[in-house]
Amino acid sequence: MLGYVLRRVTIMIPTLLIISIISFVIIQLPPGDYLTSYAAQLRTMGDIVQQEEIDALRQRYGLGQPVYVQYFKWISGIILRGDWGQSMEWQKPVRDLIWERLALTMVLSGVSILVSWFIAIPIGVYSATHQYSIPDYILSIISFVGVGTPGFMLALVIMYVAMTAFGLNVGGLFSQEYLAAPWSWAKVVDMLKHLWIPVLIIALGSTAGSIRTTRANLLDELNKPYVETARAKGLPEGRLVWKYPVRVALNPFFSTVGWSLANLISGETLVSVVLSLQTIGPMMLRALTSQDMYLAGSFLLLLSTMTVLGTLISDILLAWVDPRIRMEA
Amino acid sequence: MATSSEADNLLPQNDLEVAEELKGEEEKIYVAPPWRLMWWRFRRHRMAVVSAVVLAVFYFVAIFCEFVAPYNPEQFFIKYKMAPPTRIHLRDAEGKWHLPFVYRIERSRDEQTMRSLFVEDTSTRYPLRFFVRGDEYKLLGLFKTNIHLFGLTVSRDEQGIFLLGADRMGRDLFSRLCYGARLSLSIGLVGVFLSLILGVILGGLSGYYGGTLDVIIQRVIELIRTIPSIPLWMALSAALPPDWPVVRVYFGITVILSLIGWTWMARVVRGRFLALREEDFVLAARLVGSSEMRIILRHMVPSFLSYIIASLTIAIPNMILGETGLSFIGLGLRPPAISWGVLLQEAQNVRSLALCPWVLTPALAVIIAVLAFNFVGDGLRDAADPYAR
Amino acid sequence: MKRKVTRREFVRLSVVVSAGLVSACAKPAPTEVPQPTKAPVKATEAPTVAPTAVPEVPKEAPMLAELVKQGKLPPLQDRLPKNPWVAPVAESVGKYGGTIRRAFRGVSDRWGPTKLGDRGLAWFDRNLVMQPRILESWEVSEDAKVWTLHLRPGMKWSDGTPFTADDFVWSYENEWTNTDINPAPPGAYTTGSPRVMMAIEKVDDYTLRYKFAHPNPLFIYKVGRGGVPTPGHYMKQFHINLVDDKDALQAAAQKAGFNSWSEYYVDRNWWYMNPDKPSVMPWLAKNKLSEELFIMERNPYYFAVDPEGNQLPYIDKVTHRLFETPEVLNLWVTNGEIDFQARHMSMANFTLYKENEAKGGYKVFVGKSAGHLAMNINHTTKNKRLREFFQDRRVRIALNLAINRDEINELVFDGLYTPRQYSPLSMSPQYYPKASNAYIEYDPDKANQLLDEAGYTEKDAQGFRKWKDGSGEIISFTFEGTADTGTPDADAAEMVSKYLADVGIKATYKFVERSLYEEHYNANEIEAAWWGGDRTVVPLAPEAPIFRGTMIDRPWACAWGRWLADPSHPAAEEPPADHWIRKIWAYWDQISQEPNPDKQNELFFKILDIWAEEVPMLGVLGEAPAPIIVKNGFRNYLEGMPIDDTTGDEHLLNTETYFWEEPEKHV
Repeated sequence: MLGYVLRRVTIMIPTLLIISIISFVIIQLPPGDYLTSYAAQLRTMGDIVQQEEIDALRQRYGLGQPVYVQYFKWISGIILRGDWGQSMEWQKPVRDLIWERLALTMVLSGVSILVSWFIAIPIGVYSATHQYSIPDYILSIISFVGVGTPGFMLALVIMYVAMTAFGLNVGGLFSQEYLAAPWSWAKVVDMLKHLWIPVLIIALGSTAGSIRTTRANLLDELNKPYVETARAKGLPEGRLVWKYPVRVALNPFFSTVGWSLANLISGETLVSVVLSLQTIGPMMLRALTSQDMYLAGSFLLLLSTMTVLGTLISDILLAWVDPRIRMEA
Repeated sequence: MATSSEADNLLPQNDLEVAEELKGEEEKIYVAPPWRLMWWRFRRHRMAVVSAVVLAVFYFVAIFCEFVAPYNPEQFFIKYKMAPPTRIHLRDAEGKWHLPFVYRIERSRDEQTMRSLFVEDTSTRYPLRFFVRGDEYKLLGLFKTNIHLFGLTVSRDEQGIFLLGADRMGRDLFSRLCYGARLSLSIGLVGVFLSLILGVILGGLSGYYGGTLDVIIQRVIELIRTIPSIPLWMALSAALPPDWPVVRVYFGITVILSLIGWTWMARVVRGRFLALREEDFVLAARLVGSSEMRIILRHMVPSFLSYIIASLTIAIPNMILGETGLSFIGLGLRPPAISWGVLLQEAQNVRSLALCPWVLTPALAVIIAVLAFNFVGDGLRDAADPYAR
Repeated sequence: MKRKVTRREFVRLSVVVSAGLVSACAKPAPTEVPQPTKAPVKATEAPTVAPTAVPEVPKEAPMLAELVKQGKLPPLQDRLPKNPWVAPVAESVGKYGGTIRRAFRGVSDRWGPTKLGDRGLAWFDRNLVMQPRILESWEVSEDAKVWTLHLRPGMKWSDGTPFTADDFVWSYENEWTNTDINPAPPGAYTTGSPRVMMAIEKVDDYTLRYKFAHPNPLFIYKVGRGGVPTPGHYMKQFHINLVDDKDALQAAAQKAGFNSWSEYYVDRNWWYMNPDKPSVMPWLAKNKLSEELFIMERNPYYFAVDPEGNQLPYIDKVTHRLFETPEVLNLWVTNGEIDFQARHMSMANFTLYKENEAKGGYKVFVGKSAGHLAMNINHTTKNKRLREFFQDRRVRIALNLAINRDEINELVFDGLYTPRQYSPLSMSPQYYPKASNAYIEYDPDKANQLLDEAGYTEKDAQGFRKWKDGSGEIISFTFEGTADTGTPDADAAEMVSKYLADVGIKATYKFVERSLYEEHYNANEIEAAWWGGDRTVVPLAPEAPIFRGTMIDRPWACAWGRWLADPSHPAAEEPPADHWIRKIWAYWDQISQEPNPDKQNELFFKILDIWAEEVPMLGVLGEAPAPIIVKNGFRNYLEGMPIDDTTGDEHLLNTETYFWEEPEKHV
């Protein structure tokens, strides 16, 4: 077992390195650099920016250097000093920016995952055990509508309805009066008042997928001989379903939790942009468009690392459960 | 197989088949070729059948959009700025019945808020007709004609018909939706086709040969899947040369969407290959002395083709949604191209919600398309293995 | 137009009445409410009234009076300069207290908060004439080369340190001329080409002399929003030449994530990134602009008073809240969560804002934006045939006549714009109707006739005209712009290309990202641009760059403008010797030597005559209305004010005089 874990970890290191290179290359792909878009942005906002100034800034940020030099500077900073570089747009160290937002992002994503499972699993089980019944069709339709509705559009509509019909305060995760306030019980309550909209929208998108997975896996499982055997032995249907097949059907579900977290963060991006949430998504999107390369690169690396770690954890868990996997790898 | 015959009765278009089935149902199942077994199983999923019809209609509209759309989607008219969907009447103001018609619509403006106001002038009626003459176009790019599926007999300067209302420039939203279907629905198909090619080749290689090649391909897939999709899309789309014409951008975006999509296709194919490699019928073929190529193409591919088709069907909606997402970030297609993503981007604001919510109907089209594809995919998956129970 | 004026007059009148009531309730003492008049309140007149009126009542905010009582703050007379700046009020003297809630889009959107609080050496009055602000007064020499600036004795930085000529000298020596911090010297202090830095001379603690190498009569315009020195007493701790322990400074820069001391210095020097840095603004940063809620609070040492001698600002606090997309901001507005905002408010949403006025408890004011909707046809495009085409005056007139401005106005802008050429606004001192109205009528027949006369008679089957060179190709060009899909500007562009097609000219609008647009501009690859121009309220202040064809990104004379700025630029090209643009430049040379404002105007009108004659651009619409959200009860902001970068956008009227009728309701 220990050997397996060690092997997996050693494979992970080169993977992470390659990912860091890819992340860096990806943010270099679009033409121009941060300063081109910075100058453009300033001019849009009415500044007069001289070319000399831009050239000097380019020198200052080391943007004139070859890409590999910039990469080594960045990656060695991360490995040796935990320094992720400086965000050019926010004029702040990347590290501070990421940590500030990570907590809220985790809360949002975590709550959304839980909510979506809470809804998805019972529905999925019902759908599978009542295949092709009217409720199965209805639930399927609802879940596909959830998949099919573009989240960004839904976010705007819900926000608009929440405001016009119910007079709720929308946008962001807090009311203005709590934004600068220290944490307190009232602030938590205020956050919960705002949290439900994004949770609802994000959960709706992923719930649908989860329902489908549960349904499909459970259908496969219900066709297996052991279910037949149990049924033949006279086990009541409810216990029969929930005791084994559901558990097995949910197995792949839980084993991908690490993977789905990163995916969810990336998936909430558009919704968060519309809702103006101060989570990782909008900042990442903005960093990518303005080519704020250290910030964008760090986000990419962070999310990819989360996926790799998540996969590692699920693999180890699986190996622990199923010894055959250990042997194979 | 009681349910099977039930399903057949619902679809009596093939009377012969039904009659046959009633005679010797059991026997027929044993002798039926696999595709027929699949069809029977597919038919059991009623929503899938309905959805298949819906998709057929959608693709018909996409292919013949010039014919279905009553107007040129680019033509703007002050008169119809933010006009709501035109009401189609059967009964006039005096209570008399007619064939479908619309009333003349007068626009005025609230001078305080500048909102456009529309009232029906019940003194003038315009009959709604099918196959009317309108703007000239080339059907399928070949035949010059000016016949449209439906419309009014008068020119649009006098009165227009807007099934889904008009946008802020007085352009007919229904026409735009029809033209948008062409790009949006084909992006899904082309993208999935590209994914399929990449996925089958790489997944097949990986699964059939195994060994080092398998390890390398698997690692690459893992890497691509590790990188969050939105940044990857963004970077790749931003890297498309901005000077490209619309058509090339369209293909660029399709390629980008499929570059990410092929990975799981490869996984599916590889998994199937791994499983089938050990099957008896493959071993049998090998013992008979069939060539590797023949084994793959003649024996293995057909046996998992259905799975692939099912997965493909479910992949198409992801492409459609991906296109709308890219448009939302501003990296997708751009006007003058018309796609559902472009239409949604134009509608993605509070003023549309407040003043002309009908411009959100493209979202409905996206949802219906996704729904239909998923149901068809579901049905295909259920039907995929005709010999399973 | 007439309707607008009367409405504004009405608002002003009713406000004066209500303001009279308000101040009557607030204080029993004042017998006379100063009437807001069209003429500016003379800076020298007011203070003699103020100190004698009611000396015993504290003329400061209650929150400051409290601090004074606790001994945490010196009394008011020690905080104000001896001769404070008396800010004219638009409506009436106000009340202390309250918060203004606004919104911003991120650190790069620093101009929202900055323009609200920026205080330069001088500022415009309501007639758009420069008046002293930080300065007490100034003089300029005959040849306009030497400017003498008089500071206000007793003026203080926000930490209580005296604000004197030494601060200017310190900034000159350690910042403006330091090439680590300013790789290129700040434009306001240089003249000529190549640019020569001015010399500075301290006459006494409150008098300075700026000496320029060339005449600089427009200098005072350049320090309207700037010209303020750096607080050397604070910033010296970040300056490598001024610290003893240089290694410690380098280490501190490293630790804060910067590669060099100068980066660190620049970072510490941004008022919105460093709340510790002293300033002279009416409100001070309380946190960083990179926060979700940026907070500004009153400066207890602010150097201005109202006409009754009350220290300004009236408003205690200003907050800016971060938003990601304008749609969230629009919802905040309609829900009444925004108090005063013009930035990011789009005319496309006018109906939305207007219909929610009652619900959100605000009024939509309409200002006059300096921006124009126009097509910059590039007279110097690399495309030879197109160049010949654009340089033909008959063609330019024809293209102008081909556009149905009223229809665009009606369809895209609800008829709220005014058809006009790019030219000074009607409220500008340089307004010149002849230039504004040149060839703006819709006359496609005349347009066709002129194009025929110009020799472009041959047409293809679809009716598009062909080039004169007999190649058989049709005339076709791209006009690019940064107006994105679905914006009114992009819609208008589509309409323009339709009108041009009607007279047989194929012009295609293409959206490009701003940075790509700039690349095209730099390489002179733009055939035509969908970009009019602003800077039309006081065109002289920014040196009329668009009228001269030298403005970056406005490429009607791209290569020629380049040549004027820098003949060695790869895209530069000398205009023909007899070209009319040379006349424009010659007049401008006279203006930039001419100290007399009236003569400056006369000369500028000659430039506008040439514009009216030659119609260099395809001007479409102007006098663009700009919506400004003003919460009910928010005072001292008037409707119909010009909105231009030069005049501080919506902040032309002194922001320190804004106040709430009921401040206690806006805490």
